Amino acid sequence: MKAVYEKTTAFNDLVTGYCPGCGHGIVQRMIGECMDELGISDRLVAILGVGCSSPSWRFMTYDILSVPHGRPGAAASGMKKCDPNKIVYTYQGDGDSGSIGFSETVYPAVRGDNITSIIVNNTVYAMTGGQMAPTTLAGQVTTTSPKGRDVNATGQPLHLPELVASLPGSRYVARVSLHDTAHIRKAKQAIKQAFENQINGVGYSMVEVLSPCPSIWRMKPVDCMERIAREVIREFPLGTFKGA
Amino acid sequence: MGDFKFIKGNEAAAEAAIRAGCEGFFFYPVTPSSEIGEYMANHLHRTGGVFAQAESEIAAVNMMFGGAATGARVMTGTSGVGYSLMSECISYMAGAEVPAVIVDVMRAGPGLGSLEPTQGDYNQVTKASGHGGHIIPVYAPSNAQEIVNFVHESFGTAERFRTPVVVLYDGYTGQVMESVEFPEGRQEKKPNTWSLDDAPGRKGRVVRSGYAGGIGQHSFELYAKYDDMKEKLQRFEEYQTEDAEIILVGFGIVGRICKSVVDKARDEGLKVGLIRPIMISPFPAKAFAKYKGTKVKFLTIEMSYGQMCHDVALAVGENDNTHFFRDKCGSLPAMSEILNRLRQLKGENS
Repeated sequence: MKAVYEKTTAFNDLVTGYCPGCGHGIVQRMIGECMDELGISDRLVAILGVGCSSPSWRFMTYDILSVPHGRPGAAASGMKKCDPNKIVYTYQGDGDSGSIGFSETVYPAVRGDNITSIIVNNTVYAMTGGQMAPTTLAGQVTTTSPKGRDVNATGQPLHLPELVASLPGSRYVARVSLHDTAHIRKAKQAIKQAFENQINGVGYSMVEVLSPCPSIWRMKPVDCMERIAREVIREFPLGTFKGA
Repeated sequence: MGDFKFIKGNEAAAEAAIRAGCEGFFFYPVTPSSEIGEYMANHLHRTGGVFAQAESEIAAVNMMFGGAATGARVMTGTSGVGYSLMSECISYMAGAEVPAVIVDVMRAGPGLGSLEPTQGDYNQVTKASGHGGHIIPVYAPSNAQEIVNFVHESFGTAERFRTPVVVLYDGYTGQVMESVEFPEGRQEKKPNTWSLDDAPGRKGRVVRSGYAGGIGQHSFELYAKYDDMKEKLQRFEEYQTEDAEIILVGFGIVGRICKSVVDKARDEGLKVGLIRPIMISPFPAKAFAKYKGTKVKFLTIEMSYGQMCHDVALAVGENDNTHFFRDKCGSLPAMSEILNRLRQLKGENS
């Protein structure tokens, strides 16, 4: 019998600890599949920022560095410079990358460092309880925008991939989504492309993944997927902004 | 025979690091430390090391963290303003037990302050390198030769205790040119069991300071390390202390000046000695323990409002015998002024 679907070797036997319906498990599993398919388990390093995914080192089997909030981009650059053999990727939320770590996230692309940046955008600060993020949609209610995000006072949602794509140093920039199976498969392709680029020395790649957060959105997992399809994609269009 | 050079203190720090085996240097420009980065940009490639100028001190120290996590021997150079920004990551590195060397060349005064010689960052580096209550070793060189010796040695200390290590000196010591001898050979590098090194087939490793499930055990392991550092890293120089009635205490360039003051005072018949802390963290309390309950007076000299004087008072037991001489910020203390204060203290004695 031929196995058509197996557990990735990137995970051990522990449960992830994510809320039911969370997107992190899907993204980290896809990264694990890429690791297996590309044969880079001895070289792969995840650099984790601070957010819901910070404790994910527990259930992953490969090398992991956990760094301060927002700083994975800088740590990845330093690591890649010291050991170019590593396949280094940053794993961050939208607040980690787009707010506190804006500078450290953008500068690897300015320099054109050969690293991979995976950003999970769920439009809120989830780990701290659902505060407004740079990506929160106009009018979206959060604990710190109780009347809905007022874009006149707090600005429009931040589009990090579009910004990074405009920099000469970036090579591949895409936004993908997890809201249905077809899009999950596309997301996997984009993530794999981002890792292949690094392996082949192409240069800086960023993939932003639109991801559901049932606990903070106060929605059922299936309704979260519908919200992404109907509302979130309208603000954050999917696509490849740069590179193949 | 080693190799002699006539060189600026800051450049001596960089050259010593290269010779010690530094493999990565990450940097953001800040006066009066910038020569360290400039020297590294020109010379680190000699030994195959990588140099990177970051977009900020925050990025520089996190680049250093990323490099250090692979087991590479890494360093940064900065000044107090930059050290403030780096403190977040220094705390993470202390928690994750990752070795690195940070050279901090002090500026004068809070905020933007100024560039004259000062020692206002004593508390910052010995007590407040970020949140969480960690302790990291701090060397306090008093001249260019000691900058060379301590930078070289600090890589070994960082790896031995798995911790960031600071080499702290003032802008004057960093800018003055002196003749130095460079030690031969690199710091020995031993294999480790924690880093994200290139070892195909080994199990995945995690370098982290996060202990969301409970930090108790990790804290006790760190405390045991701090005890070990207190036991092994209390370093100081004693000069003419055997029969001294008054003992001067000064670190860095102030210690160097005080040594000359001791000679002058002895010429006048004043029985004066010197204790010069060579490492200011952990504080060399054992240098002072034997004076508890004696009539020996202590005069601490600092180029600040007074920071180390509190550690001296704690070590010797604060009483009428502990004194502090606050030099005006922004200039080296004059020997004549210290001598006057010593004569005064002698007068109070008799």
